[in-house]
Amino acid sequence: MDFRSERTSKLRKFTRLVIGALSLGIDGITGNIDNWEQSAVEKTNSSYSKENFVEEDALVFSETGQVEIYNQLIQDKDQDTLKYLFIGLIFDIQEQISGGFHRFDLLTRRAGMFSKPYLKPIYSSKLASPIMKRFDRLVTRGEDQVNQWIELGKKEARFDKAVAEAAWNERIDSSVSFLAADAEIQELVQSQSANLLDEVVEETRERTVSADNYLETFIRTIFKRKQRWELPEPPQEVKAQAEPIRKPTEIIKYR
Amino acid sequence: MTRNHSSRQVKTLRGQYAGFISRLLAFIIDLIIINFICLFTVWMISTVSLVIQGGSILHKLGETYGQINNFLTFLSSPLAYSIFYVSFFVGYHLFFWTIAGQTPGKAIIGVKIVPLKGGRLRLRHSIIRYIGYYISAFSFGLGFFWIIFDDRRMGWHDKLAKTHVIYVWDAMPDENFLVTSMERINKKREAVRSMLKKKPPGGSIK
Repeated sequence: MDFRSERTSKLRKFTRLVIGALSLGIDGITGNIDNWEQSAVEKTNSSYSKENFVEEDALVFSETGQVEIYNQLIQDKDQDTLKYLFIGLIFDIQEQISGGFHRFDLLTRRAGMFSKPYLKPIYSSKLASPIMKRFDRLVTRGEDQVNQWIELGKKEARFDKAVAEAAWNERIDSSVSFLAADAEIQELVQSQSANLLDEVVEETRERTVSADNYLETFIRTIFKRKQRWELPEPPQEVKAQAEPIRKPTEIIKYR
Repeated sequence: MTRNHSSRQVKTLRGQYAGFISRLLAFIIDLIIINFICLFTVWMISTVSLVIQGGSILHKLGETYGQINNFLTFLSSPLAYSIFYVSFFVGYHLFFWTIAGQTPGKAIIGVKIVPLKGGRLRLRHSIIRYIGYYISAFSFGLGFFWIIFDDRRMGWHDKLAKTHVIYVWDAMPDENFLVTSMERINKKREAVRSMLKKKPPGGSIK
């Protein structure tokens, strides 16, 4: 196999993987951002009920969407003015730039419409026709190239995403099966769970024993009865029945 | 958090009479277990019956043999569920008390029922103790609250069945908790006393 074509092929595969991963990541992040924004809107609206509003706030509340939330947030902390200034600046710059592009597009269209009657005699003259033909060919070639890129992009985007998904799923599957098969990890999980269970049980028991004594002391205080600091000792045959019970860790250990 | 009391030679409450809260908590855990099992069983029966179209089959049988219809109506009534629940409740307690001297709830909390003379808990002990449960309950729960006042922490059902409930683990009360709680109670008592003793300047409390 030609070394160059093999290299190109590898590079192409790697590019596919990267593009697919990027596409997946962007899709995921975009989806999550929508959810986060939605939950932020709900959270802010619920914590900022209409009853708590002063007059200016009520005006803000009547507005729709995000402006309302931003205004509420800004009212929360005055000491963060500088922070809000920068955040506001960033968003404003974004809006200015997109607005600028829009204005530039409008301006060029209008300039074209305005200059079209004056320029038409020039580029329809015989003198300019070879140049115009070449220009038209260039434009056509450019358009073809762009269309070709779009087609390639469409095809690759689907394929690359599938490749990245397959790679991701395979990694997850192999990691999970590795974790599930590894005896040490299993033992660690089991022992950790059992230890946690032991601690929960022991803590509960200790607290209930304390609560037993506390309740008796409290009730005896209320009924003005003599405090009982020590219970009478049970008979030996009863005490002998209190053999130790096994903890969850011991049950797992001896299983 | 896990403490090895035996290595420190500290006197623990193992074998001592278990208190009201421990026993109440054990009972609540048992109730949760019983309810879960009952609900799960009923759900399983209804789901399986739905899947195999058991209702249709039995209904068809009912059309053929008229007496089955009455039985089917009874099975789907709340009375049948109540009978199942009560039977399971009784069976659960009698079975575990007789077999192990403790129900799963009591095992979790670390308490055990022991006859006064030691040895294993017999079925007759369990039956009498169970009947005692109802006596304690129907006397407005006084039989259960008796555990708080009794010197040997025995409820009426314990007295009837001649049983004790003891801790079967190295029980150690949290002394700091007890001391602070006692201090708090004493402070409140002193505050109430001083308030009662103090006479208001006008002669009456406003």
